[in-house]
Amino acid sequence: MSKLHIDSITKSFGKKDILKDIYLSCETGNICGLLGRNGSGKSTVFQIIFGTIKGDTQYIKFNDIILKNQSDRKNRIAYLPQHSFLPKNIKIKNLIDLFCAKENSTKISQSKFIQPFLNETPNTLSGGELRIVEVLLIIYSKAEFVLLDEPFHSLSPKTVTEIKTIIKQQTDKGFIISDHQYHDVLDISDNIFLLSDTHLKPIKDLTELKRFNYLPTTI
Amino acid sequence: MLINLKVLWIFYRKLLIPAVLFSLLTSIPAGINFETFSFGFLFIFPLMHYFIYELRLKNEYHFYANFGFSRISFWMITVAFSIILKLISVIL
Repeated sequence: MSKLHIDSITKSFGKKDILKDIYLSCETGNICGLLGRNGSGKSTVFQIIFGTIKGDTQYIKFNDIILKNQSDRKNRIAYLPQHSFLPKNIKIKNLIDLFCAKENSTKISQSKFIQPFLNETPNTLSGGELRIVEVLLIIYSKAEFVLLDEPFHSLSPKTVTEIKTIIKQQTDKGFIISDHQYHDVLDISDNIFLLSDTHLKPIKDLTELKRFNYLPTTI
Repeated sequence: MLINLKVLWIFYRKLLIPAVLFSLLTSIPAGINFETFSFGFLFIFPLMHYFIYELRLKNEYHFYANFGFSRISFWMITVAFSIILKLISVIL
């Protein structure tokens, strides 16, 4: 079992503090849900963990290895950003070969979501089709920890349900998931955290989400 | 290793064709040879990198980061390659 340990993340942009002393821990087989209002800093947390943004302070450890640069994260942490990120002119089947090991490569190529697009390139797919491809490539990648930033946006309810099932089946991976479809995040997460007022708070139930002003009190 | 090379090729194939073409074009007035070409390439290659990846396709850096390549590492490769080509032309 592997463990991703995230500690002491602080980040400010100019004089505005975005994150203060963020602590989060995730093990393989675990799904952590990260909720927060727009602009609360969820994507910034993801990018600091992934290494594409430097925190003012940060301590990120994979088992006993402190992750300092991008190459340290290779095959350990995979990240699905909010916006599409795949090169536009590479065939999906070639992208699968890059992202996935042999076993997962076969599995993903036979998936009903991917099979029709194997010989297509990302620029020929619709927004929703592209999102499915991106989500599955990252889920089935070689990394042991997967950061998913809004994996369900642009996806139909039935597809969301099937993606959730796929995520749950990956018991050898750890997931940190953020999405505004909070019901879906709550549904699959073992632990829920709310990013509010620059701090990350562990959440036990819906009433706490209302108390911290994430959900309207009328729900 | 092979995957790293493939990823580098995906990144640089978008830069190489326009950089080579523009470098050839800018070397026409002084006469096309390796020295004038490499002088143009020294500036045009990083310029293409800036226009294509910093302005147009910034989000693709996340794709490359999934394979362990940071934005800084690509800039280092771009600048180093341009300088090395110029140095080779000076030596020759």
